Amino acid sequence: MGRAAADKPTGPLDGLCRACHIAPRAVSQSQPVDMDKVLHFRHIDSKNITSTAAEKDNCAQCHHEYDKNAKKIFYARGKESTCRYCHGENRVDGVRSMRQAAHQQCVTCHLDLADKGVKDRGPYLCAGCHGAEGHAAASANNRKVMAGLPDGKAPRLKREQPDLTLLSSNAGVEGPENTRPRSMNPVAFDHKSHEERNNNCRVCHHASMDSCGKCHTVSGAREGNFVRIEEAMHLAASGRSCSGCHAAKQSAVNCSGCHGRMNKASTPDNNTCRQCHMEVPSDALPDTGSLTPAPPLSRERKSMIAEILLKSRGQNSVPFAIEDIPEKVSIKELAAEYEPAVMPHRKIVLTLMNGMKDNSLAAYFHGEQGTVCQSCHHRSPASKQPPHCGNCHGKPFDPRQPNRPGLKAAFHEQCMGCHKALGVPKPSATACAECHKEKK
Amino acid sequence: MLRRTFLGILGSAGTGVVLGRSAHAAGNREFAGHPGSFGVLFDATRCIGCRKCEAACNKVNELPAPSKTFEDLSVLDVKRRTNAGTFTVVNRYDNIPGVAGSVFRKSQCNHCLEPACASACFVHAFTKTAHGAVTWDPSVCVGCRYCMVACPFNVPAFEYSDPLTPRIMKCTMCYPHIASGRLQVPACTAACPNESLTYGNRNDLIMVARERIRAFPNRYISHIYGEHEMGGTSWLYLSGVQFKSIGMRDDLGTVSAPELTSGALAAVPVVAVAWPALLAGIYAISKRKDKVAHEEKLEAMARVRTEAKADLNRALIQAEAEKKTAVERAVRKALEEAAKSQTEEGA
Repeated sequence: MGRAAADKPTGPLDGLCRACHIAPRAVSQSQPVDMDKVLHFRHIDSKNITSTAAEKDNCAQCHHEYDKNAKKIFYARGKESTCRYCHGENRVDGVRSMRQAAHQQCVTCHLDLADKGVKDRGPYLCAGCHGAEGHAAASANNRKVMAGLPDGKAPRLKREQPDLTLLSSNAGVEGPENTRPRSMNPVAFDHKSHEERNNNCRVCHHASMDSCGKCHTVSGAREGNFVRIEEAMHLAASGRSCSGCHAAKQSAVNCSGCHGRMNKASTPDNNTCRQCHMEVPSDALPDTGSLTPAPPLSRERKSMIAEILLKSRGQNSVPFAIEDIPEKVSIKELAAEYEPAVMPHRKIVLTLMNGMKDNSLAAYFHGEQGTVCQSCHHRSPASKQPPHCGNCHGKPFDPRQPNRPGLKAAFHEQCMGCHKALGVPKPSATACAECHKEKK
Repeated sequence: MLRRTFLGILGSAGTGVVLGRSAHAAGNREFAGHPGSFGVLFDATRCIGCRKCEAACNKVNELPAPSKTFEDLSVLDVKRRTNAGTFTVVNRYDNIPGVAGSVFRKSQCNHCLEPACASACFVHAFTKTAHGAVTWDPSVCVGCRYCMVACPFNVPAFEYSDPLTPRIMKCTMCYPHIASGRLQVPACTAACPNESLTYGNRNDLIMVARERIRAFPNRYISHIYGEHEMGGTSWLYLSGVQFKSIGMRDDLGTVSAPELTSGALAAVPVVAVAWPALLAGIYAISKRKDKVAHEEKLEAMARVRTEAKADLNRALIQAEAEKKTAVERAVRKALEEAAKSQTEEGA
């Protein structure tokens, strides 16, 4: 007779599967490994990674290509790429997954070094690469290494990438397409400064280390997943397109006061295109007098033109001379219940300027005089004496202009919207008398 | 008349009554609003909770002064609702996930395109005006307060404090003031410093709202509350957070109240007329039935009485006969006995 039938205490009975089989509650704490450029530099710089006689630097120890005929891997100088270009999520056609490849490559080497008794070796336990404490240790070591370097920055990777270059719609395309005139002016591109601002090459070079136009052709091609070069450069929703990445930078607090209130749906006008697609000065053109290359522009020529174009951009955000910026602006038009509001105009301009002081992206795009002013003084050409707000904003709820706020709301929305976005705590939006005194 | 035919006539008469009064917006058809009618668009991303709208509403409608002034923003610490002395309130919503700071929401009558209050009112005290406002007519109101039960937004309020002439109190979209020329736009919309409230043609407002959503996809959720809720309302809402998190019902559906209830409610006016006649008829029929039954009863009693009498007579005759026979038999027996004794003596 069973214990249950005898009414004695028992273990779990039929139908109580989950009394024993409890789903594990633990969530993996494993974090992805971030091989950023500093950690990469430490590998390049390491004296403990054995170099071969043929290759003096350490690159060949990790980077390789695969020779299909000889069925073996070999090192190709100047072809170093991101591991993920070949080693994907899963093993495909005998190419190991990123997980397998990284574990075999990294852990094996770190273990070898440990066997040799090397102190400065990488981690070989899971937590060393995937744990929070491992990440913290790596970051601390990174900082220590950086502190010892002359300018506190990781040196650039040596892969013969240009400092400055021109991006154009058919760069790198072989064949007849290259003989037609270019449809857009090329874009001067500071490759070097973009390297400094990103952690690794994959941020932009997501599938190969080639130039963008190789896969993203003018009309789209299979190797570029039919993403046209125009889309690859401008898609706002993509984090790796130029426009998409730059737009994401605009959500920074210092930028959001103006940029957070800008219409995201409007199509950019021609002037916006010219910000990047600048006209090349004729004296910078090659002897043919045209950018249509036959043969293609030399690397030096591209770099030279890019330098001229980039230098023509304002390197500092310049509004008008300080005395041309009104110090105080009194808003009298609406004074009814309240006294006129006296706005510290110059202080506001200078605060905005100060917020973008060290931002070279802002400097590039705000370089023209009055660009910064146009956030508030919008929809009219930049000018030292912009039109009064009341020229366009009149009585509210005009059925002919239902999208246009009335003057009172235009002021309030402008001031409060910017203050809210910038996180300016005072004056509070409901503290009316702090901006305009109550009429007694 | 068959019962089914009678009910059919009753039903079609009800529908006819309803369809004939389009202004009262209670029918089985969808009503997309009076063309060119007005509305207000509330934008929760602009509202700062200053209560200027409440103050302006109180002033223009000559409502009782509140216990705390309109400058006192501490009243926002508790959730309030509209009542007989307050046509509009602003509430503050804190701790909404993913939102830094507070979100404010103004509430008042939403001026439904097909108002539930109007469809519930059997004296037609409520009118959806061509202007867009839903107004209340004190001259016909009987004070049943069905409108208060019917309103999905809990808006109409009753002046319980006034025992003699209590009124139903709610936002009028300043219709009387605009009609009289005293105001150009509702007082609350004029008072809003930020145009959190935009007054205009309802169709334009929907376009304005769509344009804002399109221009600022990160600022707004892609939903115009009131465009379709309860069959559509003249007061529309935009928000950066789910409407449920700022105290708005998300379970109302897009079918107007009259569309849901017209079948039943359409019968109300008809029943009000037909009911007495119906009851009188039923009474008359039952009365006649009683009379017939009574007569039949009397007839039956008479018949029974006659029959009983006949039976009695028959029994009496029979008894008489039996009696006679018994006497004869006794006499014969006596005679026989006498004869027998004579014979014995003679022997």
